[in-house]
Amino acid sequence: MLARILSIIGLQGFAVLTAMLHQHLGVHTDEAKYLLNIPYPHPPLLRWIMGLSDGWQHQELFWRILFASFIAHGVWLVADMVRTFSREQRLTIVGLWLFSGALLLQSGTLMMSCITAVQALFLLWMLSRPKFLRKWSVIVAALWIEMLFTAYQGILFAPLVWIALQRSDLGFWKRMFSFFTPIALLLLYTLGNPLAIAAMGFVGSMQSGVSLEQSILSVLKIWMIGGSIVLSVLGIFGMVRSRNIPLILTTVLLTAYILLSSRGYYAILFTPVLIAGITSQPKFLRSSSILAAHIVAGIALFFYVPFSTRSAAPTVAAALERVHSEGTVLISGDFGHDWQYELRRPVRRYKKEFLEDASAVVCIAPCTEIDARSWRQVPQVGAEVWVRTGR
Amino acid sequence: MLMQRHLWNFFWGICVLIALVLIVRVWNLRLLYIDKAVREQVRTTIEVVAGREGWLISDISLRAVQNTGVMIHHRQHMRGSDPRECYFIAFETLNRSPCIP
Repeated sequence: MLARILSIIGLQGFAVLTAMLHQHLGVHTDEAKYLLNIPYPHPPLLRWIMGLSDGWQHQELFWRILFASFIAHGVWLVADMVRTFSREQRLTIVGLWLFSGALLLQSGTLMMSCITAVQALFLLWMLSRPKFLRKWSVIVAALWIEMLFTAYQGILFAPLVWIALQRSDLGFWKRMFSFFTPIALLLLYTLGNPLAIAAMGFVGSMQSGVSLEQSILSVLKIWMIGGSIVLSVLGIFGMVRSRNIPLILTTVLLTAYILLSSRGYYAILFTPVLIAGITSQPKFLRSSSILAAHIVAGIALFFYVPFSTRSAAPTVAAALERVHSEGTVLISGDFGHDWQYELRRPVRRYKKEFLEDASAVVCIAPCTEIDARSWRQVPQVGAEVWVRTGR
Repeated sequence: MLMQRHLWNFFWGICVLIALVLIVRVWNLRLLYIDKAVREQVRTTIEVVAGREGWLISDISLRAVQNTGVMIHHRQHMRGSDPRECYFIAFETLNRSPCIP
């Protein structure tokens, strides 16, 4: 009992530490989208819930800790997936989960891929509990619609949902409706939000200039991070050796998706399937050297893979607060949603005609026609910032 | 068994509710998908108006598409309460007139 309590405290401490680390790095544009409930590219379920709290002072830290807690406490599901194994094997697989490069790098971030990974882990856990699955197949259906309406990448785990429903005690038509109805609803949602389609097209076009060789190298890198190399290899070996077709199909779908749109934060999507893959090979879980190598690789990846650079948005927002500037901010040049998040006021793209109604201007690209008689520059804020004189 | 049956009924009820809401929304946008000329006009209109007003595209959501124009919601995403406006923008003139959100 004491060991369990200490484990819970330790895991929660890990979650809080990683959340604070990423809070220090600042909100990134993708994270700001979810915190502000900006309606693309992902479906609305989780971002709507997060957006309800955007008036809280500690919104960002709260959600970081919550996301990180879900990831850290995934160990209980992982341990239960191998509940019949020895204590040593269970500890090994828990270590494989916790020290995966993706977890170390992404715990504490506010990306939907983290939640999708936890949802996938829960699904894999249900697959390891056949009696529970048969009795509570409604949870699979609810989880499926929840996965799809949290993030589009939930569709990549369709093979696992399919097999879960096949193993339930539902009749044929109920299984079909349970599987296809959420997909149909997601399609309807997408048609009702055409800017989401446009956003996907835009992201896809960014990838079009990348060569196949570069894409494949990106996928390999992301896959290696997903399982700290050791689990990456053993997980694939395990799922192929055990001929686990749904897992293999899911991995293929993930690979194809990342090939088309390679982003580092997709690495965590590999982790739960790799964990499930290795559970079919208990002999690997008896080897302490495998765990040791995995931990070393995970820590090395944590220090080797660079974190995103901190945006100038928080510094500019603090400077505007100090000079008591209020009202609309004009921004010239390309900027992310983190500026909307940090500035806490209306933001418009810079145009000379809007200067009259604005209280501050941020010039990420050069601004034209700012009258130095009416505006003064705020020094040393990491960006060119102008505020009205006398304000 | 009874609990599972209630949960399944609840699940299907949620699905039906979501479907109804989304079908209405898609119906209002149907011209966007069936008429290529209207689709192009909507795209151009949104781009021009967003550029003219300094709006972010992510702050705009399409509500309805008609042959003469498009109804949009403009919501300035920020911490706390978001200012929201509804506009009908005519294709011909690109003028915006307020509508009831």
